Amino acid sequence: MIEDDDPREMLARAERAGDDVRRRGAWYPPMMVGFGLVTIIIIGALPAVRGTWDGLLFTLAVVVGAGLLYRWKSRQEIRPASRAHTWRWVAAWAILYAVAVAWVGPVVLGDRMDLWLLMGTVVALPAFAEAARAGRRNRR
Amino acid sequence: MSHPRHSLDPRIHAPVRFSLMAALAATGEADFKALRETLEVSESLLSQHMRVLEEAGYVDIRKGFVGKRARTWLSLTPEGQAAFAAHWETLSAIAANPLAAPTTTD
Repeated sequence: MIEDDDPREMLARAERAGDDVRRRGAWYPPMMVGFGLVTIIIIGALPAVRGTWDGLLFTLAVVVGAGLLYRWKSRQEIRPASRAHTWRWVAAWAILYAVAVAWVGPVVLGDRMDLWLLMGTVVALPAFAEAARAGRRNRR
Repeated sequence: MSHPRHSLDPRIHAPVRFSLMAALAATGEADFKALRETLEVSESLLSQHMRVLEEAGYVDIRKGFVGKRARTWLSLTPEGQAAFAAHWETLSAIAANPLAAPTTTD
């Protein structure tokens, strides 16, 4: 009879526990990729909607979407990102976003939507990096 | 040559605690209810093991709310991650040796 503290049995049970948690956290990397893609779309669309009524509706849609996403995320029981990881990528994303939208875009890029999309890709990099980090952890 | 079982950490070397740490090592943080479902243990047993690991400095416990519902979140500390990795290696070394003596921590 295999005892509870048999090392092989303990390792096997621990492996199963880890696998179950990784499976339940599999929502996170796709969510981060989605967040990155939405960042690119939002920044790419800014030259077209700035200073217009469409811009207000656009902003409202973004805020409502962000709120819904936050509400859904906060209900997940397995969170592949610790608070420290979350703050790290959010801070990097927020700084890039502020610099891009407040300075680089209006001053340097003008109305070139292709360049705004490229800039959006740079701003999205912290989110994609976080998706890659969590994805690697889930594959272990 | 000292047997590897002397390197086993008694604070981790209970099957439920070891599995709990394995679950936490696989994620950033996990909800108490999710861990109870994964480990298939009662609330009181999980709470008991949680406290042991928290007192050892291996686990952080954070309380919060989602809507009106209170939630308890657990995560491994850096010390906990290192201790778990070392314990895993030691157990693997013992498991790899079919002539290994029993793993009771004495």
